[in-house]
Amino acid sequence: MTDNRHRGESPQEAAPSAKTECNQNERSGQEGDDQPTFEETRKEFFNLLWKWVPRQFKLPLVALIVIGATLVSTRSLWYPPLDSRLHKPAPHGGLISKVDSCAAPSADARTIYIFDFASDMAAPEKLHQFQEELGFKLKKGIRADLESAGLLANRTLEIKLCHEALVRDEPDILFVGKHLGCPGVISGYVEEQNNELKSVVRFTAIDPPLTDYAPDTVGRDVESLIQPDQTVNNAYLAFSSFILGTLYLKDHQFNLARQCFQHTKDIRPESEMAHKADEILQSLEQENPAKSLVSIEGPEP
Amino acid sequence: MKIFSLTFSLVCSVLFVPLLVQASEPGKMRDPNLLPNVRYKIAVLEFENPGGKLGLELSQVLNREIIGSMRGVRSLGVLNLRQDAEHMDLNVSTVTEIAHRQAALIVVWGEFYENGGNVYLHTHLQIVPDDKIAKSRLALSLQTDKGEIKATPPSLLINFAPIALNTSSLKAIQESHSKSAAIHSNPSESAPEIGRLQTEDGYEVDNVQDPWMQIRTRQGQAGWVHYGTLEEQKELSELQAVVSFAQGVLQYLAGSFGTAESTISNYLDRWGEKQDKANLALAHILRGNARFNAGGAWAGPASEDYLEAATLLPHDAAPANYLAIVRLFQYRWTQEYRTEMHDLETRLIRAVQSQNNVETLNNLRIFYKCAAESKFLQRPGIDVQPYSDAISKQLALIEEIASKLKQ
Repeated sequence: MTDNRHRGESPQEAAPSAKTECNQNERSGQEGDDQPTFEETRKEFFNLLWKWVPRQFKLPLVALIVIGATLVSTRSLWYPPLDSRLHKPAPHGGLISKVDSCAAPSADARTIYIFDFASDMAAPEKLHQFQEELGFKLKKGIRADLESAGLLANRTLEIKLCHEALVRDEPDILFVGKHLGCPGVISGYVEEQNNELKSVVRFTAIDPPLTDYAPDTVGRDVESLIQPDQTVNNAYLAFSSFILGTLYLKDHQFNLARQCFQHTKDIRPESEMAHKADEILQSLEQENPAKSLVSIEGPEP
Repeated sequence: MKIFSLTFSLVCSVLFVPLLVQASEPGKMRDPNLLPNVRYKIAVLEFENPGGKLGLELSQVLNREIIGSMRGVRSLGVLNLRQDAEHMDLNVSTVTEIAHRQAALIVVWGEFYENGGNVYLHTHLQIVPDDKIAKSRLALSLQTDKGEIKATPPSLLINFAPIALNTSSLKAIQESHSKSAAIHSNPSESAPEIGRLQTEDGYEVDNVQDPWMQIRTRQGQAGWVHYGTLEEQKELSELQAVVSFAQGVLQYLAGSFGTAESTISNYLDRWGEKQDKANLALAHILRGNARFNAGGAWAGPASEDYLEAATLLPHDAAPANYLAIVRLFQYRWTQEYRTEMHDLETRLIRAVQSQNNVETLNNLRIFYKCAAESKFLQRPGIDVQPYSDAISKQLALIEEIASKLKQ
């Protein structure tokens, strides 16, 4: 039996409930009146549990429960508060929710993400516009380059902007890349130096790990960084080709992978990604079925 | 006699008029086949220009320039397709779908990038052969008694160098558009304007007097339109690169090899300097093909084109395959050592190694079989037996590679 006053219900609200319980009791009476209620069972369970606790532990246990309850009830009086910047958050805790608003986690195995460039510029809206234009140009230009080099082979490689989250350092970038399941991340910064703008773009491949940097054009206006009078900057093209190569590697399409890494080397030689591409090409060469083929006059000098 | 000549004229008009048609038709990107009776079609899509109508105007200017200046192609249709309410993102797969729907062999599209007072125009061209590439004119083949040598082009997507347009260039587009939309009673600017071409107006071209074309709209309006506006506007002259390339490709696909050779040569001379490697390599391959198809005397210059393409795309198998066709055509019966054939062998091997290209591997197999018979790889001083043994060894190795590639 339950007491309606303990629930804080008015008699009018309680009436139908009481009637219902009455009906239930009537039904349960038909099934058997010896069944214990939930309250009775609970009391019995705790009594049994208390009896099992050794005598010397009973006082410390009660003290622990009292202290715990006191701490919880006075949480709002703590210093520093839990939600303040003074309190160190869980690693990447804030990033997850922001990144998740850009895409569903682990659903972007063929997408390169571009995160907003860090900047201390006075007009962030200009930077935002620059990012949008850059994104539009990259989506069109990278695809056009890979297609014209015959590397896409009915596959896709998407480019997506993520304005919601800012990623700065390597652990953040790697975490975001793995969380999104994407093969590559582009980030960077724009800063003003001597009344001119300088941009450094950071390219990060997740697997195999690679970090490369490309200083971009220096101009007075952030819009000049987009270089609209040129096709896409070679660094972006080389990185996209590298990433596509890693995807083909995972699919065991070694021939296409080889071409992608070669394309990376061709369009951005002497870069970190070209060196990495060269390493992969050399390892692929071991598996090349045509490696022993040489001219009948012998190998080339 | 009168009845006979009337019947003859009627038969001729029924048989040949559809072959001579030159028509322009506007429409939307999702429309079904707009000019079903026209054989060779180019689709010029509305350029992407967020927030402006310049993209449509520019595509109309290009459309009129292409149809007016095209030579050597019978049954030509130029479609001007615009976006409809539901915007279509333009990329290789969507433009290929459009091409298939319209049975168009070439699609031209592009986008504007605005930056301060300037606008930059990026233009793309995709060739979409109506047959499989291997069966289209873009591919070449040579039947030898040892087998068929084949070559297919590297990529059929061309990107053009961006064109910078300033404020005055934008005005120039509008002026060109306005100028080329005016219908005059005679091919002269001073002739009275008797009408204007509207966005929805399709028309046929009856006559051309450079830079004017005599047109007849679907509504029956006839008159002269000034199509050649790009040459006259300095700011827009670089757009002629797109027109020139599209013309060269269509002339080639239509079998006008001499005209195509001349158009592509003009393209390379005038606009080649600014274009990227993939663009130039395809232009050289097409010119080489046009030269090779034009006749045996052109085989030498065709080789030079393929060698140039190979320099531009050093890791691509396509130039080596085309070169194999021309050089085997020239030297496969030669009973003496040729450095050109040794050079070809090296190129084919490199292409097999870098791309594991099955087409190249097959070409290399046929190359060695021909070499065994004609001795063009046998250096002076090398006996027949070691030479034959070396070739047999290469053929065995090729079979081994082929079986590994099949796995």
